[in-house]
Amino acid sequence: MTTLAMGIDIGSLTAKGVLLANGAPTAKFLCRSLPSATESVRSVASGLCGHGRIEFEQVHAVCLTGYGRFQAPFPAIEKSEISCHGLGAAQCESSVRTVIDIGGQDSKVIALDDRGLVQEFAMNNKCAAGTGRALEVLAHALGVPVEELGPLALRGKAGCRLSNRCSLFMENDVLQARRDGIEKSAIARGIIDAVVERVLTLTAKLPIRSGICLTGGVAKNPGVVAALERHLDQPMIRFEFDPQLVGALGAAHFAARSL
Amino acid sequence: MIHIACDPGSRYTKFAAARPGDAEAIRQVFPSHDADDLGALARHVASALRPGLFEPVQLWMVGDGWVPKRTRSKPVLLGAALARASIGLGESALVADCGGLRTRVFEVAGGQLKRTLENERCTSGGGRFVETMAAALGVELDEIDAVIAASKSPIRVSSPCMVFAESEMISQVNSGVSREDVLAGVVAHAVEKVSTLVQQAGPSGRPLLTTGGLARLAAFRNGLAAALPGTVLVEPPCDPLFFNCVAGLATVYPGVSADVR
Amino acid sequence: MTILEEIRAEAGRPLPELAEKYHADGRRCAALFCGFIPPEIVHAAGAVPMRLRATGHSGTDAGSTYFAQTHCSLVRHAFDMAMRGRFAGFDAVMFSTGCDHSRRVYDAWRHADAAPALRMLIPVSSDSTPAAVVALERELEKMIFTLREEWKVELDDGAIGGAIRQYNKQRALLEQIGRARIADDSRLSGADVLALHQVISSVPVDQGNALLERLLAELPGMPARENATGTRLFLVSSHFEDLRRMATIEEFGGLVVGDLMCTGTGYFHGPVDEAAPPLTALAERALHRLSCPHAADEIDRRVRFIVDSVREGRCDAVILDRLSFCAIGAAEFFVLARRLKAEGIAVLELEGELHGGGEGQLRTRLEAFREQLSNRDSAR
Repeated sequence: MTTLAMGIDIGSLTAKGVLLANGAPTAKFLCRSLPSATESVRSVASGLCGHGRIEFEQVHAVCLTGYGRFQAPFPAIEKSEISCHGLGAAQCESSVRTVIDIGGQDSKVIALDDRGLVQEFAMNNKCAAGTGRALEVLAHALGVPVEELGPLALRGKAGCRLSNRCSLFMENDVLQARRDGIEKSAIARGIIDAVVERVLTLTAKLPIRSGICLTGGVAKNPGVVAALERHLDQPMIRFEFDPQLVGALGAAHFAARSL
Repeated sequence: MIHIACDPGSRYTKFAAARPGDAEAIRQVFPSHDADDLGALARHVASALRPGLFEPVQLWMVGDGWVPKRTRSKPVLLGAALARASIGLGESALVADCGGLRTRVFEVAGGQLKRTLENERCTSGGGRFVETMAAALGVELDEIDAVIAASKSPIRVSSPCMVFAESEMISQVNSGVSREDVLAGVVAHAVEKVSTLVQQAGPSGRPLLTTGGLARLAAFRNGLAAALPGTVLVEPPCDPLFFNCVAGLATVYPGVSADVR
Repeated sequence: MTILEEIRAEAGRPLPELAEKYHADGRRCAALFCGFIPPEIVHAAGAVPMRLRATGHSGTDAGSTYFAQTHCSLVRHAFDMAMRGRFAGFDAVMFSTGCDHSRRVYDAWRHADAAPALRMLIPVSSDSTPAAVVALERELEKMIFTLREEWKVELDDGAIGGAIRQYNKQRALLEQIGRARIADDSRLSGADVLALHQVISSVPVDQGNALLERLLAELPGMPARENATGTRLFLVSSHFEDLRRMATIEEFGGLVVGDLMCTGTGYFHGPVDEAAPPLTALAERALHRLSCPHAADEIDRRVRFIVDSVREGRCDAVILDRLSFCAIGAAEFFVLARRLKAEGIAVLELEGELHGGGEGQLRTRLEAFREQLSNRDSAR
């Protein structure tokens, strides 16, 4: 008999899901988060069932994570996104010991043990400057889609420094730099460096061990990956599995383990 | 010579332009993220004044003295422009410029700028804050006043960061708080920020002119009046979004008036 | 109503309401901004010393006219109350120099000429050397002189000595509460004890002592808390007054069985030496009790206290909960986090406003921390 376990991760910007069949991913789903967390959960569950060609009643266990876990419309276990990102990353690559997750509105650094379980973590407080939202806002100010920000930054020269701490005041810096005629690629690099610098303040709270990976949607930004590797002086572990779905993958594994 | 004043804000870049003989300036606005070539935009605005004909353009940048590198523009200091425009407000008055990110209060007297106060490096409670929250709640800018009018119990905004406040607002709506109450709380937060700055400027009872995009909202102006009893709120002679620009233009081109009464 | 419910209800009363009640009873009252100010002296002068908190007060826009957004949340709230005249019913407000933010509020209060008319500053040194003790004694002499002049009261060593004995009795009773709190069959939550501390620090000492005796008598008859043998936490903070936040920490983190806070156990920790001259003894205790991180030279003792309390209380972890923009807390907690981790103690660092906000974020961190602790336990 096939054991079906579902993991659903409701973030501030995107809602993600992974379906496991006997422990292997068999369906994935991602959509923009809806204003109602309950509706987001339903939407992801329905999407996964559709992609997995199953009925929801066939699912043996569900685990919810992200802020949407507080509003489950059906029986489900709950796990923090910290634990889910940790286990999900370890499932993708067992040598991972440090996870840097840059999410929509928060960023975290997670230290794992050899079981993929959380040993320690640090999260940003009160400031969205080192998050995916900051990149969205600043990409918009630069006049480029956020997906193009990373590739643009890779072509940029260093030197355009965004001095402000707040992502919204940094937006003003970007507009000013554009008006001053600075090349967009240099501004893009400045944006990436500024956001990465904020994230790296978290690494002061935790010892960073080798075996570092980046999860969350921002992991798809090659500029951020390059900047992190430059600052940490270490290569990042890259997954074939979509890094934006790692939290949902971890949740699915927690669901499977609950059986 | 066409004189064009430009007020490059964080959200909107405003232009006011006039030719000799014009008593009123024409006004145009562009989203700031589409407005990096200010020279080109100025020429575009000029062509609206005299379609098909060339006339030299002088671009004036209204603000703190910054001019873009690729233009032959000149600066006009905003504080001085607003002070000049407010000369009719009496011996001592205040001007609150409630912009997207920056909120400033200018203390003016007899057409001269006496002092400037500005919000510390915090965008919480600015125009951008209100706009973003409204968008998150699915409310257009021109609907904000009507939505707030239905509010019974405005919430209190606790997060100092606009990004986190946005999630907090969405959580509130998810837990059943009406969007009217959330939006009313957001505008009340903006009122609190501006009124605090005004009170820091000193004794109450002086006329207070409000400019900037946020001042377009009746709910904001009414909230400010309630928070500052004894203060006479004065509206600018044109759309507050453009007033800084028009005031700047009036300092360099006497044909246009921005005088507030 | 059970005694714990009574205590919670009393803790929810705003200080101005209590001040009105004391005046109606013919008693003076003084708001104390800082733990360095000995309540014994205020009590000996015939007034009720009330440790300042902003319970029931929301909004800081009036307070923010003098303070930036990046000032301590307690200072902005307290000053907002002052600007709105909420301290008009007090006979004095007393400040110290425990931190720059609280130091500044004394200046702002005078500049704004906010009530009450009697505002006193009792400066204290940034270390706890013998010279600092002598200096504080001199300041306490000035405090006594001022109270005699302003309130026309006798305030001699005998009266102060009597007050010391009453407050020492209170500290001993609270120590018993502390021991009851860490028992495996504890009847008290962290929120109960926080509420108790708030009540005790705002009522006359005899009333407070009677309440403590009653509580100790009734405790054995109460049901044990179900979560007393679950995750047990030690909470370190500066000024912490939000009962709802404490309840959230306990709901999603674990039972708080011990604390070191400005307004908590640290404030009541350790007696005044009754054998020594009163002012010397008060100065010694003020500087050598454990509460305040402003004395950077005492950090080893604070670390030791926390480590010993964690072991004694069989705590699973320490939570360092910093009040937003508390500069002293930021510096202290940076060092504490490292030192406690070096002792093998798991640490969670949080930050929050004075009242509410960010419940979702708080819950996520607490739940993740519980999972972290569970992972640690399963690895052993």
